[in-house]
Amino acid sequence: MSDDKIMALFKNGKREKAFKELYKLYPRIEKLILSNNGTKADANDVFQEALIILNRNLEKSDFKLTSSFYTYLYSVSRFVWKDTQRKFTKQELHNLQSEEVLVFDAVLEEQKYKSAEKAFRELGERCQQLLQWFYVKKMTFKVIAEQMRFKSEKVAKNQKYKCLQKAKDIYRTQSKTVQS
Amino acid sequence: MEKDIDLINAYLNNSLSETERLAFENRLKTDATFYEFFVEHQTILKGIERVELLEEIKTSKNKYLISKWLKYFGGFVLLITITIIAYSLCFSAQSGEQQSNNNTSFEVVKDSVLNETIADSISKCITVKYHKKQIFLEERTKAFGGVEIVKDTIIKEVIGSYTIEEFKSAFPKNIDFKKENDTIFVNPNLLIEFEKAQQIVLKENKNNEATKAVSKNVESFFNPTKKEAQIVTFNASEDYKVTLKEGTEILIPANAFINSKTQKEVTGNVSLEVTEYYKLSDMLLADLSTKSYDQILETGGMLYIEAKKNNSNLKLKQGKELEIVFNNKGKEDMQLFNGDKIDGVMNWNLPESIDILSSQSKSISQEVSLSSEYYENTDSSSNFEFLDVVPRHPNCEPGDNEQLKQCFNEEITKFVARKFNHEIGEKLNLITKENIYVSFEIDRRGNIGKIEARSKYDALAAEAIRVLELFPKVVPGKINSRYVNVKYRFPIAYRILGSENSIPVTRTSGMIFQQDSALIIGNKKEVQKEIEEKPISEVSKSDLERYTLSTTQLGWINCDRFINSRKNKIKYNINISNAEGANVKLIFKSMSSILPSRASNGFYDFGVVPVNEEVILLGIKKKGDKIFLGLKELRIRATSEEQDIDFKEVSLSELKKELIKLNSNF
Repeated sequence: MSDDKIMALFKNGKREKAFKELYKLYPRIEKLILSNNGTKADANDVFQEALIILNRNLEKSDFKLTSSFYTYLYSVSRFVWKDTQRKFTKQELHNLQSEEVLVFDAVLEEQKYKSAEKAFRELGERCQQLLQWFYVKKMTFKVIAEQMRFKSEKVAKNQKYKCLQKAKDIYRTQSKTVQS
Repeated sequence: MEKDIDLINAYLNNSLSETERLAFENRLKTDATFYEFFVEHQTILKGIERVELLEEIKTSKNKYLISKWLKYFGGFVLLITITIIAYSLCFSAQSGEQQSNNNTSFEVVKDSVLNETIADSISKCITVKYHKKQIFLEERTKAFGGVEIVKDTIIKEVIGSYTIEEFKSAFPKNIDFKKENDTIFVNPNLLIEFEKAQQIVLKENKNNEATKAVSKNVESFFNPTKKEAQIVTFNASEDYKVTLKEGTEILIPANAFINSKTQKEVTGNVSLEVTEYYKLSDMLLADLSTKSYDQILETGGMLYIEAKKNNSNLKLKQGKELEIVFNNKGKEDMQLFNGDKIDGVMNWNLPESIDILSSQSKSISQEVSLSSEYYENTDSSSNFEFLDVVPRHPNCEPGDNEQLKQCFNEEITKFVARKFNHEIGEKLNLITKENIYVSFEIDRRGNIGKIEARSKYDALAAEAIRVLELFPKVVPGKINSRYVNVKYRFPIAYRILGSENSIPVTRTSGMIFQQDSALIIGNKKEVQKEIEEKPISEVSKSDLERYTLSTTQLGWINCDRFINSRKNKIKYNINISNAEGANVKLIFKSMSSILPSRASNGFYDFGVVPVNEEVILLGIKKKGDKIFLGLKELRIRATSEEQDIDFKEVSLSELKKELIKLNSNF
């Protein structure tokens, strides 16, 4: 499938189909990781990350894919992998080209989101569900209250606030430990 | 704080008004804590989003993997199919190459290859075989370029059997033969010496003592005397026609064979092993006889057919049949029998479903006359109009269907008028016009069969059947260029000329046949002819008279007819006092029949035989390694007779010569 068609899938909200198509590029990315001392599991994680970053950027109004999906995913994957390996030399970072800088930024930014995700996953199951329903599925508190058997919308809203607050707390402590 | 969160949510959801949004963005720029709070909130939200995204990616990945494996699987299946096709193509190409290699080595072996086979180690004997290799080259253009097809036939003939010592003494110069498996290959030019060495020594069986049951001895004697099969190799995927040494033609349709064990269709090269038995001597040497249970048959030739591929036996696929043209002619009502040995005696059976042919092909009704009422007994919905080509009488010039029909009607009318026995009508004292309703079928080989006639008078109906049985073969009708069975129906209006005035006239020449349509219920008789011949247009006239039969089975095949002689029949047995367990047969001089016997205490029982026939009583017995032949000509007279036969000792070659002398009796 051509890049244009995959792009159309993203635009039409058929993200899953688009991902499925992009997975055809996976074997080549896997080779990259394997040839850089990574395992298959590493390759899998890296590619996932690359897809998330791609999707993230596609959702930005100011993002334009200047190369093919493969080139983009390849460079993202390379950065993701190097980042996890912490192998960037100062020289390398200095010599980055403007586009590469964008990619690198995106990778670093995603690192933050990833730790937020980690924090989120440490929440209780109920909290996770509540936050997902509200923020991702954009369900109203009324519906959530019904589904999760809260006494009222207000209780649901309150609960959500508490859950979010807890996630933030975990996230903060996480970033602190990372920094220190 | 909670308010801020609501505000941020509203901002992210784009649900703020323009002024609210501007105020919000302004606050982000000015209020550093608020900005940090906003960024943090957004990060958490994106973290939550990741959960969803990762889930999606995983399902996509699984779907991708499934489709990939499906593709691989599909590809795998395709690959296998391609491999099989390629393999079969390569294989046939290879075998073609092999055969052309054969052809080059053919230069070396030239006319004949001579080799000797050690038949079996127990009896320590050497069977000397004469191998003749005929190689036919044929070039065909195939889709993949020209492929050379070589068909070769190996004709083997047993010259004799020897022990190693006898072999050495008979062929002293050949002692240094080289042995390869069980076959010893000898220089081709040694053939001359074999021909010179006429004396053929019988195989010596040391395990056999003279005291053992002699009849068993005789039985074992027949094994090495049996004729060697001719082996024909051909490609099973194509129609193939072969003419054997003694003139038998066999037509093998494409893809006719399946493996008897696996039931799978066989492709590639198949070898057909056929033994022809036309000569009395050949039949006698193979211990063959012509009997179907207790009825005597008259033979028009026997065949033993085997099909093999890579040493596994093949059989004919259901619905496929071999067409066999026997090199014999002149006798009517020949049918195909399949043979089985019962207690060591050959018994011939009529295949149960003789009518396989007509059940396969469409049977077509056709009315000769224009009368429409005579339509009962139509066993098929098809009609005359469905025929592309109507049957043609041999006397008719080819033309369009209408002309052919007209001509056919004239011919059949003339024929019936000429052949009808007028005395029958006179005897019945017929005054008025009588209708005989006749129907028959022209099968896809052009034979007239299934003749039915109805009339008020049985005698007239019987006569009509008799006459139509004499009707010659015609060119059968066609649908889509395939020959089909065609039904004909027509009434014969029979009256004696001048009888209209109720005056009986005895004139016999004035028969009038006309088409009429009144229905009278009379007798019904069904006659089926069994001679099945090739469509006329494909064979020459002399071929036409040869027996062409189709078989759905391999193995022993006999082209026979039952002997329906009007002569009286009796139970017949002969007491041969000096028989000593000899194998005794009766050979009927007037017909090609060999009758086996059942022996008990010197009494040889032949079952029911026609009386007053001239026969040859033939006995072969074996004492130790000596062979005795007894021949006696006699006429069958009484039920129980005493006969002595003069047995004289013969060598195998003498026995053969003696038996060949009898061939003129067949």
